[in-house]
Amino acid sequence: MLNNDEVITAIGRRLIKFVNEVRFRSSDGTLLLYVGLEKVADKVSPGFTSNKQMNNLANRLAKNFSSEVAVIYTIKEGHDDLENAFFQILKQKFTDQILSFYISYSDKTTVNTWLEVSELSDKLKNRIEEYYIKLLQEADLSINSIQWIDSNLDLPSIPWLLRFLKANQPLNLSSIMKVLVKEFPTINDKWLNHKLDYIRKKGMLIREKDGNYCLSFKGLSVVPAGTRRSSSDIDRALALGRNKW
Amino acid sequence: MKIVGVKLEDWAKDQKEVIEKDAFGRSAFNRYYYAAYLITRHNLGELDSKWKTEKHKSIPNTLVTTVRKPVIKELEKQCKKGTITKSEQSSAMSSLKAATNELSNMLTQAYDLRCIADYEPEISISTKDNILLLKGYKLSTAREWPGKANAYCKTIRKIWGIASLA
Repeated sequence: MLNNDEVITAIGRRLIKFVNEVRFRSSDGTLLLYVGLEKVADKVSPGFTSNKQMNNLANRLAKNFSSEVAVIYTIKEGHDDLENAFFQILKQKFTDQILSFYISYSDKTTVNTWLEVSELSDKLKNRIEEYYIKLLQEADLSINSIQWIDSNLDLPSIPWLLRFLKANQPLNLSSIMKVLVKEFPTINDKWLNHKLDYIRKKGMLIREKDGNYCLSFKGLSVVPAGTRRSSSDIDRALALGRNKW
Repeated sequence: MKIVGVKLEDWAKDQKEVIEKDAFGRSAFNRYYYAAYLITRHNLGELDSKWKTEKHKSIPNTLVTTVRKPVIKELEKQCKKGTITKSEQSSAMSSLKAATNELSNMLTQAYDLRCIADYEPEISISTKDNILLLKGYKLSTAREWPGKANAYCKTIRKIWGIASLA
């Protein structure tokens, strides 16, 4: 078993202030460094360490002690209470609509949020966002990002559309809509037409005389391909197979 | 699997004997961890089949390295080709970073608590205001691990989709 004092000495005075606890996990022989997330920033600065600095420390200790080393980032005290308080307030305000709510800190005063809402509409989304940002401001916090989990308001990105077209071409507007509406319920003809036109003007898409869309060579070159099971080439081969049958 | 954890947590709270409270409580930590781990492994396996067998100890590092790398590269490429804007690229990268970081940190900590629950009986469950704690960590917080894993994985898969990698 490793001697904690030796490990603390090896960590050094400069970095030990970021480590709350050192522990040896005998079940798998791993040396553990517990670091409070409130002391971690994107870059090293006075009073703050970074993931990179802690990873370098872990690698150095692993070499010194010929042991596996893991850094465990512990959440800020009161994090759960704050998360739960926001969740309860939002649930109270938007009755039965907020299904789950999680936050994380990207720095001391900025949070990332994951929100799951039932029957989300643009109007409801704006109302929740506006109310939630005000709540955060009252707590001297600001928002970095909100992720709407399982949102039916999501629309496909252009790279996603190109990949879809590569796998299923040639397709006309109505057959594209027929498939896309299942995955993106709020999509409409106008939006799709506008996007396809934009891609066509970029020279990545060709609209044939019969109204079918096909990717140009430029369009094909943009879609990532490879040998993975999830590769667009495999998607294309499977789609061709399905059409043949 | 979360449902088993919830039942064990309820049983643990109802026990009068400390030893039984401890036994059910640590088993609940174990189930909550496995629920989160299996959700993550399943979702990563959907992105690349080689991740279907990702091990407990390697999964946190995989999340912040190999899961991110192809997406960052692809988003840069798509931005250069003009299929996404600089702002879309930056927003996708920031969301991916937050989700992979959070999931990686959560799984590392959850795995540590699961190891304590399974292999270190000398560290026992304590109770404060009817909340069970293992090494100061609340069991009620552990109950959120599967839901959080699910939310973070959905974000990761969404960004892979935006980059047209899945």
